[in-house]
Amino acid sequence: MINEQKIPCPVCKTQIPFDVSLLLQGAKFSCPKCQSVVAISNNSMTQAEEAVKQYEKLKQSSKKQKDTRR
Amino acid sequence: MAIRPKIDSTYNFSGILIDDLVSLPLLSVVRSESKMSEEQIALLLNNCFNYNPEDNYFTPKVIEMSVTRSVLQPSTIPDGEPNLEQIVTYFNVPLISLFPINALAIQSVKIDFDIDILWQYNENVGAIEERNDSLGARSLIEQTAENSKVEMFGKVAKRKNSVANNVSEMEGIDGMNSSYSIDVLAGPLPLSKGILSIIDLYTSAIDPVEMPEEV
Repeated sequence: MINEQKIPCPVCKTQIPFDVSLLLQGAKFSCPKCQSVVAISNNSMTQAEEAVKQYEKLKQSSKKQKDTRR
Repeated sequence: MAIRPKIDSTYNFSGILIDDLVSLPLLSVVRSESKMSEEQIALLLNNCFNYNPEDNYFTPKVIEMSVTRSVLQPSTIPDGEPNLEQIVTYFNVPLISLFPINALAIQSVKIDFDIDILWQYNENVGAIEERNDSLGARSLIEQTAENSKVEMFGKVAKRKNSVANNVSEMEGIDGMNSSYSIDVLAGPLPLSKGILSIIDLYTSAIDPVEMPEEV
């Protein structure tokens, strides 16, 4: 969906590479240095998944429009 | 099947100003991007905000995130080994801060064409200033940068087989005309670091506190 981003580890400040798309789908990303894990908690998973689904739908419709114009 | 008449593009583009030849494709890209932005804004409003029609406010949806880390808890037994425990810290982040806001943006636009300059008109309306320099020599300085007026007339050239340079250049053709190779590359400005700043702010504020040793 988008490029890989980085957030500083709240524990050791090492940059943790993560992908927003995967994060919203429930993937966990761990700090390469101290192994702290950043993730979306289970309570919010449904909300995040729904948002990703809608986004993908919009992306597909934009792609279709682009192909039709060609 | 309808047969389309063969159109000579160089003829069709002969009456258009060079400024327009460059700017019109860029404008159409901006318009396309604007349409995509509208759809994205609608998506963001629907998915990342809760709308309350009573007070006409959009409240941001918040998702819960967690940071799991290992913590060494001091042993309850004197001189005992510390216990390794997994501590999970929860924090809330607005959903919009994680969403790829401009992921549908057009990455880059490349406009590349050659123009045959048929003739040009140069009118110098600049003032000529007479000045004495430090050596006492008299010099005439012509202010041409802002005051001269150049108009060029031409048409879009047919592509040559040779590869054009990326740099705009001027060259003679048959000793009569000149041609410009115009190569424009436009792209969106990079996103602000807002998203990462918000996450950074949240993660910095949840630095776990060390547990005091039990006496």
